[in-house]
Amino acid sequence: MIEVIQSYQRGAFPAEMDAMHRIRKKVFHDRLGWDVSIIGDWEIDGFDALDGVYLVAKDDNAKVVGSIRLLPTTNFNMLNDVFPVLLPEGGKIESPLIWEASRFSVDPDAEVPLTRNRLSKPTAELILGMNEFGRRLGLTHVVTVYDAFVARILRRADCKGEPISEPIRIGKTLAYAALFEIGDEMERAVRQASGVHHPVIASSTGYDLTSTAA
Amino acid sequence: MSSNNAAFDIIEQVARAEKLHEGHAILSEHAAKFGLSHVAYLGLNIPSERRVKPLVAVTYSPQWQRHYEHKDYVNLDPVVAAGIVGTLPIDWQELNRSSGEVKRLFGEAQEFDVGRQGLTFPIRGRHGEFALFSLNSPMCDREWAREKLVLIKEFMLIAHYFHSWAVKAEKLDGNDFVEKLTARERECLRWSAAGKTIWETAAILGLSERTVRFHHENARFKLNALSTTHAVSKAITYGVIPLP
Repeated sequence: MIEVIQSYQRGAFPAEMDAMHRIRKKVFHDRLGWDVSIIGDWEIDGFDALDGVYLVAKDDNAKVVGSIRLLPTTNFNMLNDVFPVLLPEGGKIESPLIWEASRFSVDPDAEVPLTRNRLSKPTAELILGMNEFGRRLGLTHVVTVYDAFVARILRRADCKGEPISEPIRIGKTLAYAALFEIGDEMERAVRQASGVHHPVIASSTGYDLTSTAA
Repeated sequence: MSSNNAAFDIIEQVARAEKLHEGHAILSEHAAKFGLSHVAYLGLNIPSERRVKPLVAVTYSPQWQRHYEHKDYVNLDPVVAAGIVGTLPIDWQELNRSSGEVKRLFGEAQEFDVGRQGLTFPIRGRHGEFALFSLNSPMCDREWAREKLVLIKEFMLIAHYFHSWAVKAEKLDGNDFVEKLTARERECLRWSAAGKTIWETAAILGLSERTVRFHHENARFKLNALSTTHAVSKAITYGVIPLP
């Protein structure tokens, strides 16, 4: 189940935010050894202070097991502002119809069911949730910078992206950047690949894609 | 994506207008085809060298606008409050309208023919610009629930383009030169903004003082500034460097 939390609402979801940032530290700092900013047991960076949206995956016991962060490309984001080396010919990807996905993470210690193709249920739900969110917002694409590990997941989920450039080594990781088209095709492909057929965005969040003042 | 063809047609036509109110009039004509009664653009913060009042292009009646201003509704309006914090489009139906004052605001809006339904797109950019682009419609709730998704798809793009165009039409887009500062030029300005002397900046960046002076000189030229202090001030205004 996916809960949609806008950045400005983080104060109203302290448990979810706490769990999310802890899982991000586990994945990006502890396991992958990336050079990310840590405060206490949280991985949290400057982009978390912007107007992003978080998709938070919860298991059947309402426990947070993973998340993904979405940022509009019309404002500061990782590709344009941290990894412009991945952009072709110094151009920018900046459109109200394209958002950027980052910090995709699933708790490595959580017991999560595996679906078809060895995708974990939260993984499938996060990708489907991202697609659904994008669809309701009228987005054409989501762009994302990712590593080989996520590349394998995307392949297993049958997500075909359009690469923006050749993969480039950044730090100790080979980084890929690609555009993924939002819509029926992505939904069909991921549902087929994962066998997840239920709606993933929780109606209980009251999230109807539009924002309300907290 | 055929739905975006309509959006691009509208954008193209608006772009041919030269003045804000002309482009807005073109937009309003097209909006009627979507069952909309109003399209309102409010450029609330547009960083510029000149002190500018907010850009306003609305079809609301002058009486409503006067009433809104007289009652200082901008401080009460939940649409504005939601727009300030959020990124996603705001459906007026979903706002918290429980307070008596807010109920009165919306009631009065109806009396002035604003329209039962509203959808507001917050627009925010990397130079600190902030605008609200709103649609209104007299549609009933059921029809609105059906049409909303279409409206979001069409107008998400239109809202952002209209904003960019409006800024240009009002000649407030002095940001063109902003992208041309090199990383080194920006760095040197940043340290100056933080109060460092040329000697200190040189030491911090591992450059010679002459090189730092050179970067300052280039930045002054590109920003059309009379002194480094002036250049720093412009650079901050346009978001080229962050506030120290």
